Amino acid sequence: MTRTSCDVCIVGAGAAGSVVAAHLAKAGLNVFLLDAGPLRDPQQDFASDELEMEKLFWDEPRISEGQDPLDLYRSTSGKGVGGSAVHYTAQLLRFHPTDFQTKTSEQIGEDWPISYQDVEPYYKQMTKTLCLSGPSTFPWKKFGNHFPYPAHHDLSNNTLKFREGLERAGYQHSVSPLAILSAPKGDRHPCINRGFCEEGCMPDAKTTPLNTFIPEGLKAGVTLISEATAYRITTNEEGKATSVLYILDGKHHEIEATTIVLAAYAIETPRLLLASASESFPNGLANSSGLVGKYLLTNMNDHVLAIFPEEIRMYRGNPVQALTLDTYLCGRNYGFKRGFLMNSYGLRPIRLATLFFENDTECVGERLRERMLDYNHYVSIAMLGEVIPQHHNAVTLSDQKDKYGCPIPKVTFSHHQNDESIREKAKDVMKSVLKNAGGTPLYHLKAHAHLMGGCRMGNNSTNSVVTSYGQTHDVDNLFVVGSPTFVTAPSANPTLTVYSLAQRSAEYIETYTKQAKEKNDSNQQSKMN
Amino acid sequence: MTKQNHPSKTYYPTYDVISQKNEWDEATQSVIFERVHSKEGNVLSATHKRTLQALSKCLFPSHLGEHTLSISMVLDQRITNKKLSTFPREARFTKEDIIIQGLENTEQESIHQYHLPFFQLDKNDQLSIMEAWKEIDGDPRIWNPIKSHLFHSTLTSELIKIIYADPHIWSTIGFAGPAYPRGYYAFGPHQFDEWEAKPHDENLL
Repeated sequence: MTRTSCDVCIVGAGAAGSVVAAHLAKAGLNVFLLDAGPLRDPQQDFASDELEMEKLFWDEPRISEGQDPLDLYRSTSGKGVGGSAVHYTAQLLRFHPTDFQTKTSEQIGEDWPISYQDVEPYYKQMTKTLCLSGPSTFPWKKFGNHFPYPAHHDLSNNTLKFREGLERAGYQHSVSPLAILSAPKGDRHPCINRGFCEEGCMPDAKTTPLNTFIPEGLKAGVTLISEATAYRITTNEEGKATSVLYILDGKHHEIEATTIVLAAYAIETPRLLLASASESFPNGLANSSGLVGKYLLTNMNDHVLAIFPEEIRMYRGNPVQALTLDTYLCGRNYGFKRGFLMNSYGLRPIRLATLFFENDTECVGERLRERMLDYNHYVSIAMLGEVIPQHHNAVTLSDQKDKYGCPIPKVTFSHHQNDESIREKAKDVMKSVLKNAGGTPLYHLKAHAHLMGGCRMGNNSTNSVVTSYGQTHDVDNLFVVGSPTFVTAPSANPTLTVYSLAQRSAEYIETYTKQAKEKNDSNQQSKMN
Repeated sequence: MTKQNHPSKTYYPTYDVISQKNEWDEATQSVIFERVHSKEGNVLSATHKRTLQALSKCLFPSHLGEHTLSISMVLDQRITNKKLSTFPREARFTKEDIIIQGLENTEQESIHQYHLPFFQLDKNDQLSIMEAWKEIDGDPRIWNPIKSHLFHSTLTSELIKIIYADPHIWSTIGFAGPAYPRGYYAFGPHQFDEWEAKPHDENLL
C-alpha cells in the first residue's frame, strides 16, 4: 500500500467537492481530490448521443427497494469528475425562505439550523461565478435575482406552448435562470440550442465543475486523482479521522490528512461512513445519532405529455427553458403541505421511450411504436415536487459485496401521503396548462430526480449528523458537504444550494484546517523541546 | 390521435438522419459508426443471440422491420464493455447477469415445454411462454433466483434503449439526431432548419 499525506483530502469531485477543493487550494492548503470516475474533456470525450452519454451515470451496483424504489442510475447519479452536475439541466434556483423552516411554517418535516439569510450571500456569489443567465426581472425574487448574463432569446416551441398555457391559466411565468452561457465567456461560446444538455454539453456552453472549479483548483495546486474508489476512513484513538483508503488500478492506497471532507453525494457518503465502522465507532463513523443514511430525500419529477395538431419538435433547445413558481407553496390552498414548480422539459427519444415503458409495462411493440411515431407532436412539461423527509427512507449496507469486497449499499424509499397529494395536484395542473395551450394531454409519466439527505445538518448531535458547516458532530476533523446534509427536499432544483453551501463550508474548513495545522505544529514543537 | 387517422408507418418517409453524418463532430460520428457497424462482443454465445433475436421479434415486431442495427451485437458489445453492471430497481443482480441467465432460462424453458430451442418455436408458442412469465413468474425450477418478470423488464428496457439509439428509427420519428456542431437556428413555430425532417402535411392530423 502506498501512503501519502496532505492537509485536506476530499472524496468526490462533483459540485460540492470541486468548490471546496478550489477554495482551499487557493487559500494555500495542500489538497488531494479523489473521484471514482474519470476526468473527461467535453470536446474529446462527449458525444451528442443519449446512449453513449449514459457513461456519465453511476454504474456500480446498488440495491433499490421499498414501496417506491428509486431509479439510482440516471437523474440521481453521476460518475466522473464533475459528478451529476455534468449531466444536469442547469436550471439553478435559490430555495425559498420557508424551505429552511418547514416545521415552523407548515408543521411538517424539520427546520434547518440555518436560514435563507445565512445562504443568501453565497447565492449571490455563485450566481456570478456560475454566469447564470436570466431575465432582467424575475417575478419571484427570493428564488433568484440580478443574473449576470442575459436571458436566452430563443425559446423552443415546447417552451412557447408551455408559456401560452400558463398565461391562459393565469399563472406568472419566466424564462429559467440557467447556468448556460447566453454570451461568450473567455474561450467558451454561448449555447447553440442543440438540446443535449443532459448528455454533458459537448460545446461546453453549460457551466459545470469541469469548466469552473476543477480547472481553478488544478491551477491552484489541487492533486486530482481520478478513477480512485475510496472505501474506508480510518480513525485514531483520539477519535480523529486520520486517512482515506482507496483503490486505484487494483492497488490499495492511503492518504493521511489533517481534514477529511466527504463530498460523494447522497448514497456513497453515508455508505462510506457506515463502512468505516470500527471498535470506537461500532455503528459507523459520525453515527452516534443513528441517523447516517436516514432521511434520504428526492424530488418527484413527473412529466405530462400532450399531443398538438402542429409539429412541436421538443428535441430542439435545452430541455428546461421556462418555469412557473406560482405553485411552489400551493398545498396550503388544497389541504396538503408545500408544493411544486413546473417547467418545460423537452425529452429525447431514449428517455421518452424508457419513461413510457417504466410507467406502462405493456408499452412495448406496436403500442410503443405508435406513441413514438407522434414524437414530434408532443409538448412535454414537468413538475419538481417536494418530498417529505421520513426516517425509514434510508441508505444502509447490504450483505452483498461489490467487486472490491465492500458492502453494496441498499436504498429503501417510500413516498409520504403528502408527496402523493402534491403529485396528484401537479398532474391536474399540468393537464390544465396543456389544454389551455391547445393540446390534448395523453400521458402522465412518473419520475424523480436529485438525491438529498442521509447526513442531515442540525444543531444537536442527537438529531443530526453534521453542523450547518458540514462538520460531523462526532469527529471534528471530518466534514460532509453537498446534498447529503440537506434537511428537506424543496421543489427548487438543489444544485445552486449545493454550490453555495459548499462555499460556506469551504471557508469554515479553511479556518479549521489552518488552526488544526498550527496546533499540530505546536504539539510537535513541544515534543521536540 | 385515434386509430383511424394514426399513420401506420412514419410522417417522414423520405427523411434520413444518417445522410447528415459527415456534418457531425468526429466524436459523435465515431460513436454512431461503431453502433451501426457493431462488431461481435465476447460475452453472448451463438445460442444466446439466437434466443435474443427471437425474443426481440416478439417484443418489437413492427420496430424491427424499420431497424438497421444488429440488436444482438450492440447488446453484446454493451455487456462486453461493462455498460450493464448496475442493478435494476428491486433487484440484487446486475443487468448483465439477469439478461444472460434469463436467455439461458428461456432456452431451458422452451426445451422443457416444447422440446425445441426457443428460436425454433412458432410465434404463438414463443408468445405463450412470454405471456406466462407475467402471470406465474416462470417455472420456479428454472426461474430461480432470477425471476422471469425481472428478466422480461430488464431485457425490454435495454432493447428500448438500443432501438431508440438507431439513426434509422430517429428518421422514422423525425428526430434530427446529433445537433453538433450546427445547433438550431430556426426555432419557433413552423420554422425548421434545413437539415431537419421536412414538415409533413398537417392535414394528416
